[in-house]
Amino acid sequence: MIELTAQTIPFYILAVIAVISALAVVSLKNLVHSVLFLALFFFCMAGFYILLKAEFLAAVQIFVYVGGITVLFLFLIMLTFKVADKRLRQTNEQWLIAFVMVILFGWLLVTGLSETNWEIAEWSGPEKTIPVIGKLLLTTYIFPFEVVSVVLLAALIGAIVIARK
Amino acid sequence: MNWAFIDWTLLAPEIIVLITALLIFGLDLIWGDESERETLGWLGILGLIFAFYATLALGQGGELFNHIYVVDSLSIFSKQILLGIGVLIILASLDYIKGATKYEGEYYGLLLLAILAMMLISSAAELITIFICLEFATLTCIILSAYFKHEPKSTEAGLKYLLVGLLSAVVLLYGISLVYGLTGTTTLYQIGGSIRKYAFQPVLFISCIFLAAGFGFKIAAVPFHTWAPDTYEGAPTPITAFLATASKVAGFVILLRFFVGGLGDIEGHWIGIMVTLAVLSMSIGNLSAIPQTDIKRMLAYSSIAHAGYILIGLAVLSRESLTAVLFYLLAYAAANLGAFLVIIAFSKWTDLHNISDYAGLSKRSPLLALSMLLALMSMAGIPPLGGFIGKFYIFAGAVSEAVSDPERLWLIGLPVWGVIFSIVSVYYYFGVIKAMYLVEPVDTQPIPIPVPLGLALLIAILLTLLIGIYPGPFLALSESAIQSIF
Repeated sequence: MIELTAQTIPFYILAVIAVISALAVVSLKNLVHSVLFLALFFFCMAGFYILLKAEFLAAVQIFVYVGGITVLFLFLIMLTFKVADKRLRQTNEQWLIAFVMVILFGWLLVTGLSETNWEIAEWSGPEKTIPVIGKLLLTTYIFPFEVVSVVLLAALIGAIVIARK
Repeated sequence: MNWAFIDWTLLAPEIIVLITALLIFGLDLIWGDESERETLGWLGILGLIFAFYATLALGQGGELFNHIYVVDSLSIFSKQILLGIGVLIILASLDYIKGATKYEGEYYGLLLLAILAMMLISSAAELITIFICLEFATLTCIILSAYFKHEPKSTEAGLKYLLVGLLSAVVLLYGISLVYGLTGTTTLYQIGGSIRKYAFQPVLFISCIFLAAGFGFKIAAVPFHTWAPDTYEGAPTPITAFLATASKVAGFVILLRFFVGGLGDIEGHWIGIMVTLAVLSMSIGNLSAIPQTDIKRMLAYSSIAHAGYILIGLAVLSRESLTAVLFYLLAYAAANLGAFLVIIAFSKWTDLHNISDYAGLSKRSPLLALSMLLALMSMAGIPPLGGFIGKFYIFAGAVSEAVSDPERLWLIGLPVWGVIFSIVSVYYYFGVIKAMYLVEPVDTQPIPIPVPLGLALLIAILLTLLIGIYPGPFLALSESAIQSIF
């Protein structure tokens, strides 16, 4: 079932690191450690995008998630009063139920995905992805693209209303 | 894409609402004087009425950007309901919000954006657009729920909506990615065509569950309802009314468009999900409403139960039952708004929220008590009010489909279950009516009704009566709306 080729070996390595770091994010007691593992997880995601030949997405993933969101998390933790060096328990008494649900969910997904006859595309995608993404965003997908700008405006105003004294 | 061939007039209602919202944000910035803020609310109402006129001029509609945005009779119907709800909510907010927050102008602007988001949902026919519009609606609703940020309950309302909303967004996105992986396209129009060949596809079934979970969050169907009671209780009451009506209308329209319109040919994948959601929502919604003491929490559970009744229509999947879905939404929105408008007037004056506080309301304000009586009776399904006709059509649609097709005789269980729980629901609705009419008031001070709110209340209650007594035109409207997808 598991074939080891030049394409799959990097995938399995990345997958193992991604799962371990994701588990670390939700189980470590120190918030800062959790955030650092989150950054590692985002890096692994960028690795998957590169394996799928989506270099632009990989770059965006690193810029936005690792560079932006993780750093924002770190700032928040450091600026929040006395949270940085606190040891917090991330689970409560319902962790066992949650764990069972997660296992069931995973089983459902794995069986579902492996029972399906996926159609595999012959074409491996365009040589350069950036011009194609740019063109699609401003032609076919212009409508959702424009809606996003209104969403950002609403988010901005909402954040000011909620955060200002 | 040739820009000259895009019919921008199809977007006129949305553009009008967006411009009004931006105008409100801008004027709010320019006008320093606090007393001017109410004008912004009236400006919002004006914009919504203009947009309503624009929907009347849409005619047959059409599609934009290669079936990404569809303006058909269903979306026009839904936009008209949403705009109507918006007008009533702003009318009710004018006095409620005055002095309650420092950010009055932004309140109206964000409310308009929330209405805009739901209008976009009712027309979106492409998975990425659907996702973005749903998140747009969720985001604005979160902000509005947490608007009274100095009240812990309002903050809690926003936070719970945010957390459950995030989870449902992630699940929805996963479902979308599976559908894309299977079909290679994201427009519903093409998905419907390419998916027809599947007898049964496990991944399609899983993604149907995920998508039902994402949309089920919006309509607050069990088991995706956990946010509803706390959010309804803590949010500013006009926003609770907005969530209970507009959010549900938009959620059901996208449910109809995606499952009936998009996946209508492979209904075997999702009918079971709808049946499960309907049965669970009816049972848990009604049973949990009984012990509630807070009136907003009680109505939250009752709205969950109503989502269950409406889902019967989707599970039956006939022309008759789907028409009943839209008709029921209309009747439910009118009655629910009526009940919430009474709560707004009452709680603004007394700052009390328990059912027992409504003791002797008939002596303190006969008009409010009568409106509440009619609204609750409509929701309980007592003739001749709108709610009764709605329930009648939903159940009759299910029975006639079950009788006509021997293989689907099991469908008869759904209306039976619905009738049983409708009778249960009479108990908790009459708890409020009993308090209002039969218990002596503790405080005999009369309750004033602000004029704009009174106007909104009058519209909602008259509509509830009208839908019940003269359902013909509303039924014809629902029927022509459903024809565009089924």
